[in-house]
This record gives sequence, C-alpha cells and structure tokens, in this order.
Amino acid sequence: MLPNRQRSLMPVLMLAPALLLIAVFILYPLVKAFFYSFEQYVLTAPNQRAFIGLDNFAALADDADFYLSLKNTTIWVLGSLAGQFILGFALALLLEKHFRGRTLYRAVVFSPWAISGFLIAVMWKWLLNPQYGPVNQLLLGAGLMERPIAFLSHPDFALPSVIAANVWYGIPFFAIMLGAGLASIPRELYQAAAIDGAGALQRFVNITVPAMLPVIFAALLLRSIWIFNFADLIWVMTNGGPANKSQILVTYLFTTAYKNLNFGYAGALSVTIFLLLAAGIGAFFLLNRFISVKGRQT
Amino acid sequence: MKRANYLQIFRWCGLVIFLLMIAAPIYWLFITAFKPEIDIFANPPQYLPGNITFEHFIDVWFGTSFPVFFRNSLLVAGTAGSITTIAATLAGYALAKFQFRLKSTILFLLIATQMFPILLLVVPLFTQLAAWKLVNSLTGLILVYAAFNIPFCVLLMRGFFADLPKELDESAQIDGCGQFGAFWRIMLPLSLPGLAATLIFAFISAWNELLFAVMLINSDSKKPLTIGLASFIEKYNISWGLMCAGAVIALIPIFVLFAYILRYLTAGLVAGAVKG
Repeated sequence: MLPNRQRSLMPVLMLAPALLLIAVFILYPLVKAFFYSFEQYVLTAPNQRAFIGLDNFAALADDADFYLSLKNTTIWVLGSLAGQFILGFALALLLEKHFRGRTLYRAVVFSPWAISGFLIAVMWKWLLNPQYGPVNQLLLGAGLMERPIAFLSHPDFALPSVIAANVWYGIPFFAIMLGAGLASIPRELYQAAAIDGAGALQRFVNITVPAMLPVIFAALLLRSIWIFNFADLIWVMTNGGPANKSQILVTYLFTTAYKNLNFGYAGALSVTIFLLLAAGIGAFFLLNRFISVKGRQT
Repeated sequence: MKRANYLQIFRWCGLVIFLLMIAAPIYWLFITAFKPEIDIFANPPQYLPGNITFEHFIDVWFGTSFPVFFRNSLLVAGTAGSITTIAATLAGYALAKFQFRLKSTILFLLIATQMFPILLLVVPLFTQLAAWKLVNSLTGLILVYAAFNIPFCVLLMRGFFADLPKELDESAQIDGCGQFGAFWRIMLPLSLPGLAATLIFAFISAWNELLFAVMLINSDSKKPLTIGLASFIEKYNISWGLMCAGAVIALIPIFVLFAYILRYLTAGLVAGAVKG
C-alpha cells in the first residue's frame, strides 16, 4: 500500500512551496484590495479610517481624470499593439530565411526584450531631449520641424512619444513569437504553391496568414494584456503628465497609491481595472470564436 | 530570376533598417557613457565616437551609492530568482508527471494570475509587509519578487519536464529509484539546461522590476539598481553621463545572461505565459 500513499502525497508536497507563496503574496492581497475599495483609508489620516460602502466608486464615476486615463489607455494599448505587431511581423518574416550572421543579428535585434522598462524609459528620455537629443536634431535637420519640441512635456506629443518608445520596446516579442509560428508552417506547402506558379505575395496571403491566425490571436491577446498592465515606461518618461495627458489606468492607480497615499480610492480603482480587463479578455475570446466559426463556414 | 533578385535586395534593406532602428538608441546610450561632459552637450550632437573617457564610470562607482545599489540588486535578484526556481521546479514536475485532483484548477490559477495587473497588489502588499515589519527591507522585496515570478516559471518548468520521455522516469522507478529518486537522480539532471533558463528568466525580471521597489523601499542603503538610478534624476539634476554609465554597468549582467537564454526564449514565450 505504500506506493499508493506516496503517489498521493508527493505532488502535494512538491506543489506546496509555490502555492504557498502565490497564496500569501498574490491571492490574499488581491482579496484585501477588494475590501479596501469600500473603505475611507488615507495613510496620512489613519484615524479617519472607516467603512463607507460604495462612496469610492461613486467618486470614481465623477472623476474626470479616471475617464481621461481610460481614454488614454485605449489609445496606448491600440497604438502600441498596432506598431509592435506590424513591425514585429515584418522582422519575423525577414528573419525566416537563413543568412550569414543570423544568430548574431537575432541577438542584437531581440536584446531590447531583456532591458528593464526603467532603462528603456531613461534612454528614450535622453533621445527625446529637446536640446541635446538626436531625435530633435534629426527632425530639424530633415526640415520637418522649425523649432525643437519638448516632446514629453507637450500636451499633444506626450502620449504619442511614450507609445513610440513602447513600440520600439515590443518589436522583439512579436518577432520571437510570430517567428516560432512561421517556423512551424510546413515547407512543402510553399514549394507546392511555387510549383503551381504562386508569387511571393500570393503565398503570403494564401498560406502564411491562414496558418498563422491562431498564433497571431494568442500573441495579440497576451500582448494587449501586457501593454495594458505596463506602467514603468510612462511613470518614468512623463509621470502621466502634462496634466494627465499621458496618464493610463495603471499609472493613475500607482499615483493614487504612492503619491496621494489614498488606499481606499486605489482599492476602488483596482477593482474597476480588474473588471474592465476581465470584460476585455472575455470580449476578445468571443470575437476569436466568432471569427473562427465564420472562417469555418466560408 | 530577376524578380527573385529584387526580393533579395528588398530583404537586405529591411534587415539593415531594423538593425539601425533597434540598435541606434542602445548605441546612443552606450556612447553617451563614454563621452566627456563637453561632448555630451554638443550642439549639434556628436554621433560618432570622438574623445573616449572613462570618467563617468569612475565617478558613478566611486562617487555615488551605485555600488550599494548594484550589490542590493545582485542579492535581491539572486535570492528571489533561486527561490522562484526551486519552487517552480518542484511544482512544474508535479504538474508534468502526476495526475491528481484539482490539477486543472491549479493550472487555470497559474495562467489567471499572469493576466491581471500586478500593480493591483501594490497597496495591500504594502500594508501587509508593513504589519510584518518588512517594508524598506530587502527580505520583503525578495519574497514579493519570488512570488510574482512563480506562476510563469512553473509553466516554463512544466514544459521542460513534459518534454522528457516518460519511459526514463518509469524505468528508473522499476530499477528501485522510488518516485523521489527518479525525480532527483534522473529527471532533474536531465532538465538542468531548462532549470538554468528558468533561473535566468526569474533573475532578469527581479533585476528589472521598478514600481514595487519604489513603493516598498525608501532608504538609499536598501535601494536596488532601478530605483537607485532613478534617484539620480532628482539628486544630481540628471547628469546624463553618470546616468548612462550606470545604465551600461546595469546592462552588462543582463546581456550576458540574455545571450544564454536566447534559444529558450521561443519555448518560454510560447509555453502559454504572458511575460512580455
């Protein structure tokens, strides 16, 4: 009977450390954030802590900065995603065929993946510096602008600038993931199509794209969640400014918690963000299903 | 034949453009670190290396708290990475090689924890660690980072173990190894390359984390590299030479480790995990 008993205990023991750490440092705090959302709880005024029901949510519903952050988040996610996807896919296609020095080339173009969001932000801040940064100088030199622009403190350019930096940062992710998808398409398909006289564009539209659709969907979903959650770049580059023009939901949450020390309001924001994200992921799966059902019908 | 040639030229142009686009900003960071102050603030900017100097590296290492930040980062990322890897190896093995109740629930939980913004936890973790006297302590940071990276790394290790042939494990048990012996003496040594990759993943993400360190650490002596360098922005009115030299030193270990895991990246990202 001993082996049987062992069989039932061993996986439990092996899972215990991982599950314990997850429970204590992820799940329990998550529940706690939910309870904070019903409290008046400002760290600098601990004596006024009290249960206030849905007041935080009512305040949130009237908060213009919240709506601005929501709008900016949409632009931030869609803009970053589109740029990263198109450029990443292009890079994956270029890397598909073998060439001399490909390994080294890949190491260089994939390296941004390993750099911290913080250093990426510092680097782009320096590149976009209005007086000494090369971006301004190159644009001036090309005659595209007349005067240097302080991109990161300009109300119209702050958000596009952080999106540009984020696009740059995310190209390797799509190139790596879509590259793996491309590698799994059988070579014979292309050879057969070439024999039948299909050109490069036809091969791309009729073989590559349909074969890649599941990978593309997975990559887009994973990446949009990741971009939605990614606060480091904006926090360092613009701090959400000027006047919240580049504030997204997660940076707004962090500002509420860290700068304003308003833990109750941050809790309400957390719950709202959680629900918005869950709704977004649900919608994405529905869309995915709808498209794949339609695809099967035609 | 002619068409194919055009395609070839198009491809090479594309490759060159991407290389310039991705490498140029990193190049700018590196070259700034080696420029004398007067060249950093040249107008128009100096694009090619002129006078090379190591003064910023000497200043940042001997004139600021940078070595303390560096040591803290090594300690935090090394310890957190090791804890993550040990926990993830055990859990990954259990999920790859055993059948048990709640297995699919646990897998769902692991994937779900990857989906929501980890920043939702910033307030409750702060109050929780404050109650345990672990705010402004490296131990607190280590535990938080170790936990954050576990879900992704469990999925990663599960993938590595699932790829090993089942027969190995079975024959080891028939030969009298026992279940733990089969894991410890046969399966673990075989998965060492994957284990190293997992350790590096966990190390890099702990090394790179920013906002929880901002929230949880406030004294200079406890700061890891990211927020240590960030404090340069306020303190030294952003001396770009100093900042870039610090950034270059911070990047060296990361680039060395990155070279090792490059070939595992695909496997890791496709393993169904969200890590960007």
